[in-house]
Amino acid sequence: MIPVGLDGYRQDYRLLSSVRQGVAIVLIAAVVAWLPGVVSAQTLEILNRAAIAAIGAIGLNLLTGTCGLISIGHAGFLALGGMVAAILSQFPWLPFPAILACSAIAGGVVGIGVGLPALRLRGLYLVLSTLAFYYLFLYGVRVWQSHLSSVVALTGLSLPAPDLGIVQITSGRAWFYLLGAALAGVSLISLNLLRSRTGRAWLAIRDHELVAASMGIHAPYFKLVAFTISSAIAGFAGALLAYYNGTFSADFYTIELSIIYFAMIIIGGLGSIFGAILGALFVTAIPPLITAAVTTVGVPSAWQVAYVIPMEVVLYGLLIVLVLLFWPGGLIALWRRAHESLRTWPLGRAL
Amino acid sequence: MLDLGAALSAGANLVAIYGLVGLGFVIIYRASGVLNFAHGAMFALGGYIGFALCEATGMPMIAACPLVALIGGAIGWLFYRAVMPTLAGQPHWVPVLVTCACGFFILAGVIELVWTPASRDFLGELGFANTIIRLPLEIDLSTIQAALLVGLIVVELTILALYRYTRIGIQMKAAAHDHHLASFRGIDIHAVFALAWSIATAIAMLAGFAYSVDQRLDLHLVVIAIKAFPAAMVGGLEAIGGLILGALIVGMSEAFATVYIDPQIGELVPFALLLLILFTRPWGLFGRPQGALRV
Repeated sequence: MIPVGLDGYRQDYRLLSSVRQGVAIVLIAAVVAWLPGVVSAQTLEILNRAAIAAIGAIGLNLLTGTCGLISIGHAGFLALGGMVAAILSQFPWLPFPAILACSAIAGGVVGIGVGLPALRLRGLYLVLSTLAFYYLFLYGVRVWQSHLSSVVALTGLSLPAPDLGIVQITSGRAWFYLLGAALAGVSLISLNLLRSRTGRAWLAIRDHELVAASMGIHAPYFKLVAFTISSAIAGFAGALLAYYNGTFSADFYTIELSIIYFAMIIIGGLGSIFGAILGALFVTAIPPLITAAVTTVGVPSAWQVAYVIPMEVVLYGLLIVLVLLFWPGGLIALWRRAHESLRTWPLGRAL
Repeated sequence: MLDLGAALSAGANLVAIYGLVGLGFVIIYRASGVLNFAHGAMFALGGYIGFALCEATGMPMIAACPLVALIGGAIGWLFYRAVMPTLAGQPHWVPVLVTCACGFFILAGVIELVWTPASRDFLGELGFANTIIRLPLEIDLSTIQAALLVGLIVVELTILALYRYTRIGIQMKAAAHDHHLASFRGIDIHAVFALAWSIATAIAMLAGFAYSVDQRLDLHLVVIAIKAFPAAMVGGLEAIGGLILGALIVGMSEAFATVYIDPQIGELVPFALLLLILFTRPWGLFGRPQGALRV
């Protein structure tokens, strides 16, 4: 492993590590912007869902990957954001961006409450407290939904297409650009956080809380900040998800959804924003890929429900376990290794 | 008075299940420091395996019980041997995610693949007798529920005796206390941990079998088992002796809230209690404070 040397704080503060990286980002952005013109509607749907998942995963990654606080209640915050969006979208005079902002704020405020036990609890006990919050909140949402009306109780609240004033977001293509912009914004905010005092404090707390405290970092404050920002981003992602689905129903936000988000940041690579995006894309693309493979092979449609969907679930689980057992570091580590061996070729070690 | 009887009998049933499943959480956590999120799926799997055994061979339920326990023990042992030693030395959230993935995805998926998600009714399909026993205070317990309650007490006492009087139990305590020191003294800690997983899984699968015969068999069993976490936490995640009291508090509160207030509130009670105990006494009523700060 070749050490990545920094020649001073200035290099740490910089948003881009080199001009080349900037050029690469511009090129990637150009390719991404050109994508909706060439790919099929199904692929666009996968990309859109992956973008929403990536936003949520970045939020979780700030909390878990960067600050080392584990939460398996992430689906609860997605549900919170979706619920706020579903309620506020009933008022037509409220602009779409304001609704998104309200969802994020609601997520952040509730996040402070959910983060409070983290001041006292560590590790597995914290996991259990987020689990308890998740179940309490979801049961609450379910009760609320069942009291609305018999139709809503079954199918959930419906949301209109988002209206940005100039354009209405209805087509997959319009969604793609909206979600792309949102993902870029959230990534930029997170990158800025990571290279600021807050981000460095989180890393220090994750690596050794006692040492961090003795360096003058107020650990409880920064832990609460981590919870707040992570759940605000999750609320934002939840609002986008509810708008994209067109409905909000408590049944959608299962504990499995929380675990899937956790899987995204593990498979992608803990603590890395690019890793969270990669992981979200990877995990979102698996079920459609399996379905596509099944259609190509030609399986009787009766088998579809009985075997294919459970197979997807099993495959998800196997993938998470295998990555954790044999591939620590996830996709981003693989990327870095490939990059490193390319840079040091032909003298560096092989993959 | 009818309400009180209904609440007490529903509560007794919950206490038995939370106690038996929670015991598994505690045994595994005490031994290997892992919160086993796959335990709920093991609980459900016990029901399905028992159902398959009875359906295929036509054996009576009593005869299937030891077989289910044996298979459960083997599965727990295999699960530990296959997955856990590889995770040694990794951060503590890695086993959390691995057991989550195994329980909620792999095992649940396999159950759906093999047995379909449809709900099954043991008593109707296989024709077991499950007579109601009437106790004072109008508490109605079915034979199986009564057996589960007795089973909880017997199993708990057996485990306590195992820890206190047998060589392997003392080895388990030593390995839990400090696995480095224990292995220096010649204890094969992986064998000891595998045994703990095996015992816990056998108990969970047997309880799952009995419960699904009594109620119904489908994947809601996984959720029931999650509510055993609060029972284990209230008693103390490291205190086997406190478990019955934890199960009693959580199960009875849930049953009373269900009967007297609202069924939906009843569902919330275990998690509210879990939060309450985490905020006030994270080490549980019978645990020691060091336990909560160890991880």
